[in-house]
Amino acid sequence: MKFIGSKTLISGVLSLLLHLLLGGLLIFSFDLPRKSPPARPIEDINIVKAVAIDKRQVDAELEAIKKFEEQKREQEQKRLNKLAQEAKALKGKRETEEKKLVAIKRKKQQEEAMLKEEKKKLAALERRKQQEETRLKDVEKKVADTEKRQQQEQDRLRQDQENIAKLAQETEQLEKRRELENQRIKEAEKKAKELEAKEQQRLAEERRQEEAKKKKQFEQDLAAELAAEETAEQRSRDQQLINGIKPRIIQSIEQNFNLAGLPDGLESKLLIRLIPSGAVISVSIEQSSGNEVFDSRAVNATQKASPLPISVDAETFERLGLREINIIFKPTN
Amino acid sequence: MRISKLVTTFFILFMTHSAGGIVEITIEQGIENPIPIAVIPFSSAADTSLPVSLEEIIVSDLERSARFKAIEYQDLPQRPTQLEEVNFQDWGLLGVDALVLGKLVQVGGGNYEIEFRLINIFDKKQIVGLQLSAHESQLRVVAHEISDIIYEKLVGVRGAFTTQIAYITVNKKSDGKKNYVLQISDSDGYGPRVLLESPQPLMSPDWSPDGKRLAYVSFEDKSSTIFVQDIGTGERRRVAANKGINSAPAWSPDGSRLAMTLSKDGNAEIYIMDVNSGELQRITNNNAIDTEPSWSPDGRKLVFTSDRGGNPQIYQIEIKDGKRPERLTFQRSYNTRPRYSSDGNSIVMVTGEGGAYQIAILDLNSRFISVLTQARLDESPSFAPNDHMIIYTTTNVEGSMLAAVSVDGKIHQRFSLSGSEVREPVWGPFLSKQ
Repeated sequence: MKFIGSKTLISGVLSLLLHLLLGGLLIFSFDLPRKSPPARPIEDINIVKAVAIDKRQVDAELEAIKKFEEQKREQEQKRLNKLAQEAKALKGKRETEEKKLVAIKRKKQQEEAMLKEEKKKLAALERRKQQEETRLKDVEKKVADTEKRQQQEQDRLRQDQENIAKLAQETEQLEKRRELENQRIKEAEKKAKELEAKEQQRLAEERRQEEAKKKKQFEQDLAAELAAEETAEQRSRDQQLINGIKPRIIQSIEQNFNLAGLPDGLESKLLIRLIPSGAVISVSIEQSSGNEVFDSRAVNATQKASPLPISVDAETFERLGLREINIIFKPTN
Repeated sequence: MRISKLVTTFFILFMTHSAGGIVEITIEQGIENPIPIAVIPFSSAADTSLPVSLEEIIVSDLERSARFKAIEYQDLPQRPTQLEEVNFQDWGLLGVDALVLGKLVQVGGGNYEIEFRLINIFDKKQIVGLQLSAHESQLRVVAHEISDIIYEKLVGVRGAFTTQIAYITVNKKSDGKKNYVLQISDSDGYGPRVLLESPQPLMSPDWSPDGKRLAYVSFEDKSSTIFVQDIGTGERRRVAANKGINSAPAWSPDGSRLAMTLSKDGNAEIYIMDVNSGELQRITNNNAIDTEPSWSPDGRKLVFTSDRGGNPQIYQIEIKDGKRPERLTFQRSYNTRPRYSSDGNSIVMVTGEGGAYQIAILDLNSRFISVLTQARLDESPSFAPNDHMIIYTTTNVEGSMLAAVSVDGKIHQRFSLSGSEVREPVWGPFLSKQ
């Protein structure tokens, strides 16, 4: 709000106007139309013409001139008076104008003062407004918070309810499953009983068949016994041979089976192929121990122990079934 | 149902037996011997300009592990460099299980090409082969890496040859005063590097699990102080300098804490300190001496030595539950210096009776203790990170030197390092994850 600027402008304009007026008046005062006296060329006075002058005429003329002059003076005086009056009036006007100006100034000042007051009030109001706004925001936030909390509570409630429902469902399902299990167990028991009964029957049948077979066998045996005696002797001799060979093989392999650094509890099974001289011609891992190093040590042991101490002839070798044997490595501590 | 199954099985057994089914033999015992191995020199005998003999380092590693026995060079029947050149019969007769072939070729600029093959004499096949390039300065590391590979393939456990050890040596300077030196070296003692020298005693070194720092005790402040030193930069800082005893630092398996013995609250007790914050947690609280803590690999337990029972014995405590510690040793009157194995299944210790001190291992599952050494003064045992070997010091009239024993106690080896008295060796961790 540029009050001061406008004030200056108004004063300026007013003063300018006054000056113009005065100036104008002054100017115009010189230009005021007045009766110009009859022009008397100066040169004419110098012309001497002897003429009989009528005194009366001259006096009358003089009177006339005096009157004229008086008139003129009166006019002039009037004019001057008028001017003076006008000047006075103007002065008066100017004074009133100045008074007005002063009044205006005072008013302006008053208005300024009022405006200042108003501004102050406005500022105060602004501040109050802002305070109110922040207070409003706080209140709004509090409201939002409480609403959020409410929402959370509601959610939690809902969750709890859902959980309860779930649990109820689960217990139902468990019940159902338990029932099914019970049923299954009952059925299994039933089946078991049935199978047992069948087994019993079968065993009875078998026993009957066995009896029949035995009778037949007895007759056959009597005849075959004589012949079998010879092969039985052979077989027991074979068994003795095997009983003698096995520990020798075990010893030769054990001497070459290096356990250093290996963990306990391992077991692997190898399949080896031999020829009658006892030489190991192939080794393969039938069942690994799961430990590469253990397996490799087992294989190495068999290879190092070759040729195995068998010392039997080719015919016995075949009959004893030594062509292919399994070696199980199962070190105990 | 079960009965009929048994019956059926019996029938089958009978039938196979009588039909002469496959013969089965069960091997229930074996022997525990070093694996016989032959390492063929990696280069021709004529080439003498090579700075490092890879085969010498490999043989030395394998024999020091107590699990291998190498054939002497003069007994090698041939020197093959390729699988095709190997005469398997000769090697078989020599009783060798495996053969190591290799080539080391100089390619200029201090760089070398290395080739290595491990051959199974019985399979007649190659078990593993490697080809790599390395600079001259790395040749020892390459040899140790080859030893690691051989160890893993033939023993089944990760080799620990590319690791380092730390130890303290004590010698007398020219003025007769004692000089204590903290050193680290390769696991074979090569390339010792001095980390610290002091006229005052240095003790109890312990490796951080990342292998980058050592904690130790120094008496340079006139009383015991625990320091932590960065091996790479040499930077060191005091972590415990309380009144009284500050000793026996032991890094936690995650490297964030140190267990230690402090006597600031009256007598020697065990505390755990957070390495970053310095915060202390007290573990023991009684009138007895509690010291020498060692962490279980899961970081949940401590074993330590305590004389609360009247004489020094080994106890174990769960760090978090604060219950009374469990006593682990009951035989003999002296059991100290416990150290956990990396697999958490055993504890190595010093056990003593009648003035003789030996190294023993306690199996935590069976609680069975086996004594591994037989000398009169064996101390300071430390597990290799693969738990297969234990390094310790053995003292006799000549002084104390480093020794190693295999975990089953069957094979011992002594190796003196620098001629001076060696103390408190501690084996460093594996330096890279596998």
